[in-house]
Order: sequence, then C-alpha cells, then structure tokens
Amino acid sequence: MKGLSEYRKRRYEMELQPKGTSVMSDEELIELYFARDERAIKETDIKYRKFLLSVAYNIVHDTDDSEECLNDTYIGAWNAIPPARPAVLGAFLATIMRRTAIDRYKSRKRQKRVASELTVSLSEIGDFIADGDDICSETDAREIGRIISDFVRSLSDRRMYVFMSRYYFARPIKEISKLLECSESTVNKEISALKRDLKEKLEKEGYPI
Amino acid sequence: MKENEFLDGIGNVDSDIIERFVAMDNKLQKMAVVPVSKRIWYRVAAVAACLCIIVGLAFYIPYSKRKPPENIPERDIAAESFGYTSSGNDTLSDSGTVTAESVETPSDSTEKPTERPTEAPTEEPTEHPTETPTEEPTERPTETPTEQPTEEPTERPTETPTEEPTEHPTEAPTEQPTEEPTEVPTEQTPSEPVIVPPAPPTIYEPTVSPETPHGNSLEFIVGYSVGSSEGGSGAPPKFNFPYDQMAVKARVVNNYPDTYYKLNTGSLSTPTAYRLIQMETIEVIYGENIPQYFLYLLPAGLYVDMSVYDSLIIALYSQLGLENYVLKNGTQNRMEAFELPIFSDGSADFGHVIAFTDGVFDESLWQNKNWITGYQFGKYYLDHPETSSLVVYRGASESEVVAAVKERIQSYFSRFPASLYVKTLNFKTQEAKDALEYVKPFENGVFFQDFIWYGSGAGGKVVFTRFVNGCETEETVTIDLLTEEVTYSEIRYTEEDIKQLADMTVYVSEKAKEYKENVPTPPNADVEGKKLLALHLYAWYVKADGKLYGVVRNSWEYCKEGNYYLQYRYDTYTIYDMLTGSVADISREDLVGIVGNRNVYDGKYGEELEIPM
Repeated sequence: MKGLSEYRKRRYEMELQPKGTSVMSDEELIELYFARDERAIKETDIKYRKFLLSVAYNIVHDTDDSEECLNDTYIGAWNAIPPARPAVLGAFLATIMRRTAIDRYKSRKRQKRVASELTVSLSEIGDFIADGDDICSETDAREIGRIISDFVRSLSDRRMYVFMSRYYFARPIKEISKLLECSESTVNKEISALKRDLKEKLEKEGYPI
Repeated sequence: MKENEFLDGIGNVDSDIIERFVAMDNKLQKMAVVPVSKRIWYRVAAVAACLCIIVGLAFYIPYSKRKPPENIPERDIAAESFGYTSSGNDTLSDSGTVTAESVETPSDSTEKPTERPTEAPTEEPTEHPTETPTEEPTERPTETPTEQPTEEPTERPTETPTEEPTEHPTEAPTEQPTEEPTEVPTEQTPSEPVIVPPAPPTIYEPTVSPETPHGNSLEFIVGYSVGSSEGGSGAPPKFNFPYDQMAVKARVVNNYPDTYYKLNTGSLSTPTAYRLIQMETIEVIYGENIPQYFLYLLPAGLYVDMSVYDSLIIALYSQLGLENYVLKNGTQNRMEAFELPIFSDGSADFGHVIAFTDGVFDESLWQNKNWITGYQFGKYYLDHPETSSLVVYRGASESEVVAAVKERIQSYFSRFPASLYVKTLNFKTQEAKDALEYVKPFENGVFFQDFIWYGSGAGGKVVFTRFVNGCETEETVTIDLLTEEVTYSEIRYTEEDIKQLADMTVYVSEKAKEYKENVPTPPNADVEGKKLLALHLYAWYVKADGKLYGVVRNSWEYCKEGNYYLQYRYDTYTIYDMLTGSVADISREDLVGIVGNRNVYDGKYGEELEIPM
C-alpha cells in the first residue's frame, strides 16, 4: 500500500501545474534572478516543477528525495544566476537537477541498491560498465563527457532523443515510446543499437572497456 | 569503465546537446497532450479550410474582375495612428490590418516595385480563409484602447533618414529618397479608380534631456560579463520563430543612426550597445493593442538594415518599455525619451525575424554576417526540410509563412491560454496620471523606466528610478499596471539634493584610468592559483538620515586556474560624503549600517562558488 500511496503522491506532484497557468518566458525569469527578486523561484517552480521532479524521480525513485533535490536545484540556480545567464533555462535547471539527484543516488546506493530507472538503464550497458564506487577524476569525467558529446552529435535527432532520455535523464522505456509514438520493442531495438555504437566509439577513442 | 565514471562522464556532456534535447522534448510533450483523435480532427479541419479557400477563390476571381466603385473613401489618418487590435482573445488577427486594401507606401527603398498595390487583393483570400471575398472593410477600426497622441501626425517634422550603409548581400539602395512620390497617374478613363497616394509614414523624434552625462556609472577594467565569457552558458538558443509571443508583419520606417544604451545595465554586465529601429505594423498576426508604430531595439552587433525588405514577420519577443522609455544616446552623449512602446530582442538572429521580398521568403536577411551564428542552424534546417520544424522553407510565400506562424501560435495558446497585449501608460486614475506627470521625461530630472510583467494572470508594474549624472538613486515611483496603485519610495530627491550631488562618474573614470595602468588585487585576499576574470567599478547615490552619499564598489571575479566553473568574488567599497566632500574606504558591514544593503553583495567573499556547466 505504501507503494500505491507513493505512486499517487508522485502523480499528484507531477500534475501540480494547473492548466491555464500563464508562465513567464525564460528571459523574464532570468531578469527576476538578476534583480534578486524572490518571485524568480516561485515562477521557476510554476514553469519547471513537473519537468524537474520527473528528472529527479527517474534517478532517485523517491518522492521525498525528489522534493529535496528540487529545493537544492532552486538554491543552486539562485546562487548561480547571476553571474551566469543561461541561454536555455530549462536545460540549465535540468543539468543542476540531474547532478543533485545523481549525488543523492550515489549516497543512497552506498547503503543499499536503489530501485530506480537509472539502475535499470545502467544495467542495460552492464557489458561495458562495471559496478563500482571508485571516484572518477575530474579529467576523466571531462574526457568521457567529450567522447559521449561527440558520439551524441553524430546521431540523428530521434536517436539523440532516445539516448539522452534513457542514459542522461533515465526515463522509462514506456515513457519514451509513448512520446515517440512507437512500441516499446522499437525503443528497445534502438537502445541496443545505441549501446553497440557507444561501445564502439569508446573503444575507438582508446577508452578501456 | 566503472559505473561512476560513466555517470560522471555523461554528466559532463556539452550543454548544447542538453538544450537540443530539451527543445525536442518540449515539442514531443506538447504533442503528447493532444489526443491522437483530436489531431486527426485538426487535420480534417485543415483539409476543410483548404476546400473553403478553393471554393472561395472560385467565387472571388470572377468577382474581382468587376469594375471597382468609383468613389474610394479617404483613409482615416486619425484612426490609423494608434491601437490596432486582433479580434479578441480567442483568435488571431483578421482585423487591424493596417494596409488591408490600401496602396502601400513605396517606403524607403527605391527598389520597391510599384506593382505592390496589386498584391493586397490577391493575398487577402489566402490569409483570411474564413472571410467571404466580398468582405472588404472600407473603414479602419476606430477602437483605440490607448490615448492618442494629441498632435496630428502630419505636424511632426519628418526627418529624412541619412544614408545607411547596408550589409544586404543583394543590391540595396544606398540613399533614401527625400520625398515620397505624390504624382497620380495622368491618364485615366472615367471608369478608372482614382489612386490616392498614401501619406508618408510618421517618423518619431525623441525628447532630449538637457542633462549631459559626463561619464559612466559602470567601468570595466578587466573582462566582460562573467556569464558571457568562455565556459559560460555559450550554447545558442534554438533556431525557430517563437510560438508563444506576439507577432506582427511589419516594415522598417526609420533606422535611427545613433548607438543607444539602457541605463539599468546592472552592475555585473558590460553595457550593451544597441541600435534603434522604428517599425510600422502592416498586419497583426497575434496580440492585442498592437500600435501602428513601435520601436525595436537590437544589440548593435546584430544590427542590419532591414528597410531593404518589403516586409518582415517579427516576434515581439519582449516589451522592454512603455511610452516615454529613456535611453542613453551614446553617440550624442545625451538622454533621450521615446514616445512609442519599445521591444527588444537579443536573439533576432535565431529565427525571430523573417524577411520577404516580392511576397517570397528572402533568406538573405539571415545570411548577413552579423547573424551567421544563428544562420548556420537555420541553414541546416533549410537544407534539410525533412528534419525541419521551421515555419519557413525556401520559396515559401509570405502568406504561407503567416499562416504557419498563426497556426503554431494558436496551437500553443489553445493549450496554455494567456492574453498577450502591448501594455501602455494609458492610465485612468488620477493618482497614476499624477505619477506619470512627476516622471514625465526630463521635467523633474531623469527617470529610467523598468517595465516588469509577470503574466496576464498576475499583472505587472512599471518602476521609474531616478538617475542623477547617470548613476542610480533609490528614489522610485512604482505604478501597478492592473490596479494603477502608485507607490512612491520613502526617499525622494529634491532639486536642492540634486544640486549637491557631485558627479560620481568623474571619480569612477579617474579610478578606472588608474586601475587600467596598474590592476589592483583585492586586499586581504588569497588569489594565488586563481585567474582574474573581471574587475569593474560601479557607482550609485544614496540618501540616508537626511545625508547624501555616493558609493563606489570595486568588484573582482576570479576563477580557479584551469577551472572556469569554480569562481570567487571579492569587493571593496568607497563612500563619498556629499556634505563634507570626504572620500573614504569603508567595510561592507559599516556601509550597510549607514546606507543599507542595496547593491551590496551578501555572499561570502573568497568562497568557492560552483558554476554549473
């Protein structure tokens, strides 16, 4: 029953933004941050809450943790803007949220296995990703980021969308298939092909698999 | 590869990829909201609309060949001068077309074809598929929700624009005509209609302040805005015409030749130089209370002479100001106020402006060298129309693009209803009118207007801030745009106060000159292993406990050597006592004790701040 109430709570949160709410443009929101107007957080919440909570939940699989990640994300955005002036606010916030959620995921994983979509997506690439809590150096992380960026740039829009949905935002396959209006088996096939191509790319770049 | 390596590595993926994903995700999420069955109905409706157009044409073409009436009503200039509106909240604009049936002004370019008057009748059926061909409004809508200018437009001096250099790659006019053609065709048969030449467009001149600025309140010694330097949010926004903004079809009436600056640059960014363009609305595509004339402010780096195009579809992306917006004319070194509402767009090169020549999409606007950053994205979609979600394609007609823009905007607002309209200072309450009188350009000094809009549900406000010698003070007058409630700041500056204020910009200029020769480091700060990103000075005035002060803040921004994303901030402050004339360095805490915390950084100095990638 806890699972059911968790689910209901999550669905409520996801649908929180009422239809017909008028939202500010990103530029207006950023100006509020620059003016240090506290409405910036409120308006950001109205516009991006649903999206950011879904990013967090797919990683941490817990509503309370997702809420905490959301609050940390808003604090991160408040501290970063200014001086940062993001070109696309949604992407900026998603980046902060993902990083916050991943940190939480890692800390919970040390205690127990986290039953989240991120765990499932990582297990899909288990043939070249090994479980391990080793800390990744900043230089290595950047290098891997560069390789993956090159790889993603070579993909078509659709394949890029599938890859980023699954491995960056850890979205369930069902959700991806619904948005792309295709079957889950089609998405699974595309993921298999992406996995194979990514492995090939990493090997070509000389990255130890 | 370890799991953490993969997680951290993919977390370092480039920001433009995330932006590309978010753009695509937004589109898919919105499409997912519309049930499939509803989408089918939309397609059926589109097919039905096309059938109506064909049937309409079948009736209209024979009708158009009939003789037109001999008496053509005169244009109602007064009604045309302000306040065209789309037909209500629920629709796009079918009325409010400024030149629906009239002869269009030959405008500023000698290239403009004289056959253009015949375009209007043929365009009508495609742009307004629901109208019957017989419907041709003979009078302009007289509803003008805002206050009309009290003078007749023809009384204003019309300044001939000076010769404009243009980047337009095709042949472009190098000289503006000095008078509009007034001749009427001499050979007319009794049955030929009398073609009334249109009145020349009105060019609005600014009101000029008698105050001459002597310097800048903000001086950068090293660096630019930290947000725009390397490693910052450098990825470009998506390339497409916005679907959630007001939009018009317009043409350029006047390119003001000078460079302008906003007064409220903030204290962390270098002031951006702008160019100002006066435009005339030809047709309202979406939005209410759209004026016949408006101002368009473009960063100087994006400026291009758009008067060479017959028409432009423009997203009125951001209303920067209402009437009487004050800008600093950097070329003439003076403050100017403009009577027209002003829109600003720093992303015009990302598909927000679409040009047409002879009724066909003209790609050359996007190809100009100032817009090359955005154009490379636009070009990709034009080259690969199968992947494109743009509203244009090569060879697209103006009417097709107008229809595509309307459809996209309407689709968005059908799901996220919001009322978009141009806000004005047309207040009704005496309190608000008195406030406007107080801040009337240059009557009581310089008041900079900051227009903040929260959305149609929440309203907004206009805040007028007094500037003296180009430096901000804390005196404000705030008018709520929905309730017209007026709030005056507790602190007000009298004429006597202003006379006592020494020009802080002179002090800033002297210090800046000194610092440029010898860049200082922040006192008591450990800057080893750190790279200086920016050093700047910012000055403002304060009135506290009846005393007048000037404050100058030195700000240093560093990043960790080799890591732009770890940053540090340091400040020092200097206070100038206007009564005694003394200048002294002051700690942040003491400064706040005397003058409050406006413009005072409240974070920890030297604390490592992680900037997200």
